[in-house]
Amino acid sequence: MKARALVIGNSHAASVLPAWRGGGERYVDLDFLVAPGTNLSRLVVIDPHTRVLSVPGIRGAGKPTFLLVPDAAKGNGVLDLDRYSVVVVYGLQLLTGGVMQNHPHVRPHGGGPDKWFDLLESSNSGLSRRAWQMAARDFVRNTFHYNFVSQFPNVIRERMVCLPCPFPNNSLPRAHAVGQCDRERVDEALAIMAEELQALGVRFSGLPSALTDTSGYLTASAYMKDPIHLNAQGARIVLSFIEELVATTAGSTR
Amino acid sequence: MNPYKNLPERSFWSPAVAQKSLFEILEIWDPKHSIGKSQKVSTYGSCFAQHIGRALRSRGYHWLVTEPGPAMMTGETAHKFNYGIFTARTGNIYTTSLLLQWVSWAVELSTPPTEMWVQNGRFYDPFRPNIEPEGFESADELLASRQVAIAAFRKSITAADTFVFTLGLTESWINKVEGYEYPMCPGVVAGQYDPAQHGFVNQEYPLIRQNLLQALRIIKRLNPAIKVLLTVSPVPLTATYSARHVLVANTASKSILRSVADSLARHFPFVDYFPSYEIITAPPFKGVFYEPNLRNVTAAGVSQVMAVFFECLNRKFPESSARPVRPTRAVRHPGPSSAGARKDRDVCEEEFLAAQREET
Repeated sequence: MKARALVIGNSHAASVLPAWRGGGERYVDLDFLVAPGTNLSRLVVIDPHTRVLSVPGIRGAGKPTFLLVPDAAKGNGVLDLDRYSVVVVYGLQLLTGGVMQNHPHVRPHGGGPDKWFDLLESSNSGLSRRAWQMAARDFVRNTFHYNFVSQFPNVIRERMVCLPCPFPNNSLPRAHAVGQCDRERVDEALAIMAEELQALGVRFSGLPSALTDTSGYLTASAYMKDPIHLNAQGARIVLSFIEELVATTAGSTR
Repeated sequence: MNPYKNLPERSFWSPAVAQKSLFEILEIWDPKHSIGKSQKVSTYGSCFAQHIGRALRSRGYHWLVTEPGPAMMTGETAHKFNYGIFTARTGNIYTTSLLLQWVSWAVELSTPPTEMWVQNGRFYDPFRPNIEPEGFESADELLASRQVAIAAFRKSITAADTFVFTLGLTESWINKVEGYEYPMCPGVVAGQYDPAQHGFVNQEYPLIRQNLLQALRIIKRLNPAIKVLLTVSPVPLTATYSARHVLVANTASKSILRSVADSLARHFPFVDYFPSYEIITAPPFKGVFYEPNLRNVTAAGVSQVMAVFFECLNRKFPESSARPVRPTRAVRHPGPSSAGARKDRDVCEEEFLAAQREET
């Protein structure tokens, strides 16, 4: 019997969908709950005891929230998470501080201030490494995705895997291009993110190596022109990675 | 007819003090300068000084912070690492000589010493011993951090409209060889006390006044438009090394500091004195604004001090605030709640001295 997993995410998860729809032999069953932009924040666990997720907009909302769960599509806007042995939260971005408008990739396109880069830059402002680490921890605990994940009951979190969302170097502000962006601090922040999630009982996965270059950025061949989301090649890599994760992650349905 | 005949009521003890409730004694400061909400105020000094910045900010005034913590740092973490305590991350500046030392570094009249204290592999800044609760990870990190603080301190002078300084101590510890001063005796927070190298100086009036005057002259040269507001900390000494009883040492210390502040405020138009010391310590207040330890000031005491501050300021300069500020309910009914118990509790390195006693 195939493992059944739910993939929750925003537009980055949506960019994986074409690969899933593309057919081919599948080793796991995946359902996608995709809420572009800030709409993930509308998904809340409504009953920790029954462990169901409310899905506002499931009925009659053409967009922005859409759900690709065949059985639940006819339901009442709730999703029984116990149906899944693994819950994958994809697009867990260190790159989102507090609210979604803080996407780092928004800033070069005229978006608002970005806390992620503030964090990296702060390492040059007399901030000690210890204070920076504490600030990074504060930052992680205030990310949208962390708050989203932390609302789930323990029994669900134990079956959760979070995947960071890779970003290409050319989506960064000019000042943060390769060579100037403190890669060591990025990795340290990722490690802190992993620690914080593990404290919640959630596994934090790294990225598939085929997706990134030696500097840790998304390879040019894997993203679209926008240059934020994965293209078909990148989507296939992530999908295979998710399938592998699901197949190897222990868990059971109720 | 005598010259007292036409004096206002506030000149007479009985109507101005004895016949009033402690919460009605409000008009005790005649400010020389306005502090408008758009005017930038820098705050430094002993433990009590940190209340002024917070109170200004909470009432919509422009408390200048030239060395803020990173935006994503929570208030709790920022407090732990001494961000947002004073305008720059100097730590407590207890004495006028320490103020002069910081000012001299800021204008490069002198170079900050390279001395640092190493303990358990961590590096502590002798001039800000408690600024990093677990010390710095390297000498370079410490020196870089201190340089940032010095630059921020300088900016807090050049960019400020008002510079607030709270005088705290006369007792000080110096490096006898090099002549520079530490805010804390080496060995208390970190470092090692070495009698051959470290000396105790209980500063007297002439030196304290001279150092403060020199510091203010440099500040004024850096920013000719700046106004200075002096206060004296009402928080008694945690401990004295003067060989006198701590009560006597405290009275002597505060009296000298109060005299210096009075002298400069009387002689220099750009210098003013705000009587926070009197509000907490004077007989009509009966010590009610002290914690049971008779040292820490209660939240109600801080609130009363700041209420008087804004009341006097707004009375003299109504344009400085759209709304006159009255004492809050908490002020009218001082309870057990204390400044020390609040989340924004005081950062006071001097209290490490009390811990020394408890350890013996």
